[in-house]
Amino acid sequence: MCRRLALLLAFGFLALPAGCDGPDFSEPEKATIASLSLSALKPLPPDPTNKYADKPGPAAFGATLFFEQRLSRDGNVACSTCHMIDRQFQDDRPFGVGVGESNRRTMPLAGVAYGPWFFWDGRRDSLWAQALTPLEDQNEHAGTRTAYAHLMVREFKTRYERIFGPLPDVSALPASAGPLGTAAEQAAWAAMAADQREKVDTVFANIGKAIAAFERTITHAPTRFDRFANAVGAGQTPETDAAFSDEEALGLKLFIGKARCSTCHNGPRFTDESFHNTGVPPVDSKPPDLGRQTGVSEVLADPFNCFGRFRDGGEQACGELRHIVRDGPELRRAYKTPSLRGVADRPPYMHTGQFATLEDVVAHYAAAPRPVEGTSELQPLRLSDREKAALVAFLRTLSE
Amino acid sequence: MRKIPWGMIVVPILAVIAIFCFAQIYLTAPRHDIPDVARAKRTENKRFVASIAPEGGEPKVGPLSSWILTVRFPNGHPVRDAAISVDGGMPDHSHGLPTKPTVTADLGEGHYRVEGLKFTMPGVWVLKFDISIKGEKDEAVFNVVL
Repeated sequence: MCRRLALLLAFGFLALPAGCDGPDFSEPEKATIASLSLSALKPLPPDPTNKYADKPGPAAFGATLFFEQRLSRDGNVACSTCHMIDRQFQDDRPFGVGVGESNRRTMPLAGVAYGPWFFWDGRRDSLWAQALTPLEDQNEHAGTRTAYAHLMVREFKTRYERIFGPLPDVSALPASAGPLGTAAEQAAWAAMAADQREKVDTVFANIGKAIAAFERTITHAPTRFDRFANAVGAGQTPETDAAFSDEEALGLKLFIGKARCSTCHNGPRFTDESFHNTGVPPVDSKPPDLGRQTGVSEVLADPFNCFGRFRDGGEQACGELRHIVRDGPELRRAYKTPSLRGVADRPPYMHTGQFATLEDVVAHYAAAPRPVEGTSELQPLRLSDREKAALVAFLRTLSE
Repeated sequence: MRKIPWGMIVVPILAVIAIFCFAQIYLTAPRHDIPDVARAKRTENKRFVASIAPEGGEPKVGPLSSWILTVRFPNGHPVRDAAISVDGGMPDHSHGLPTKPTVTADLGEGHYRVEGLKFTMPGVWVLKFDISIKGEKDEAVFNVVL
């Protein structure tokens, strides 16, 4: 009798944690899980500011340019130098390395065209304007606008003109001049006639539009999570290559629940495409970085933004820029929510690779440290070691 | 030797365990206070009656949306030529609106088009409309749930 009761009690206690933390999902949770599936991703919206965006010819030309090392000052840097095709179009480093070392982490490119803002701080408002920026950044491609126009005439005349029409006569233009080059290159740019500068700017913008057309074709691949989510969404039990371990299911439950990850990492891309201060520490070796606060000023000043003369289509496409939040404390050290698809395979994490592992990332979100500047949106989480490990286990299902 | 009343010991223990387990399941589940989601209401100081309606269907997480704000006096007369500013955010997440919505058109008869609203995540969003006309000023506050 005594032994039987002891066994009964022991069984009861053993069953307690499993019964309370089991990986069953409520109907609202199932709906949320289904909303995160890649199957729920809508077709890529058009980009009316780039009339070449969804045409195969410009995309093919853009692919050529994406891998073209001569699009740089020293002839050694292409977009693909940092956006490596076999590494999710990123480079595994805390800072990209082109002609010099950049100040931020290289972002992966799958699904990049879905967002309204580009770079960690959203300092560009179209994919084609984004593609232009590294070409002139002194730490990245470090080239100049006239040098790129000369390259188009010299090496790509036929392909360029088949898409964009006649190239301008660049024979009398400086070999290397641009508004962001060396002092001599800036002076040479300023000395050019306004109509010459505009013709060169048009060639430059078209380079960006071709590269953007290519980048729009880079898509996410379905993962084990998607198979799991599709089964859950269809009211079926995920099996074989769709199955989750209890730990992974617990991690998912926490991700969409107590750990509040899906507050920002929502939708099929696991991002709200917006900007948040999460108290991630700055890096001492780099210049002060105010994130979105600076990004807002830069995108408003960008001559290739949606309000600029190089946009195709009408100004009705400029809603995001027209309604941009221009100031406020929430912009300070706010950075874009990155997609979490494939995240386990691309440490280090955050905008300057501050965290080496996903365990470090989860520990940061659980602790919610006070930010050095601005106001963090994080609130401390009470997560056990088991729950933290479960979150990491779940994140790994986004890579398989 | 007296017989131990096992039943009186074990039953309460099992009951406590059961209560604890139910409490774990139900009391630690996220609480969802149901917000007031009325799309027409009196403004905070009851100077006006305001209503909002999305254009082009119910709003979704992600894209910009446009709304029609209608403002009337309590007697039903339209509030024309009002100066209106828009603010809001997600109090549960301590952040404001991700965009700066503005009134882009006074459509007459107390109707105003508000463009540039954007909801970046599911949950309860608060929209505040500061409405002022000839010295009269009031605020309309709505909850929108996505």
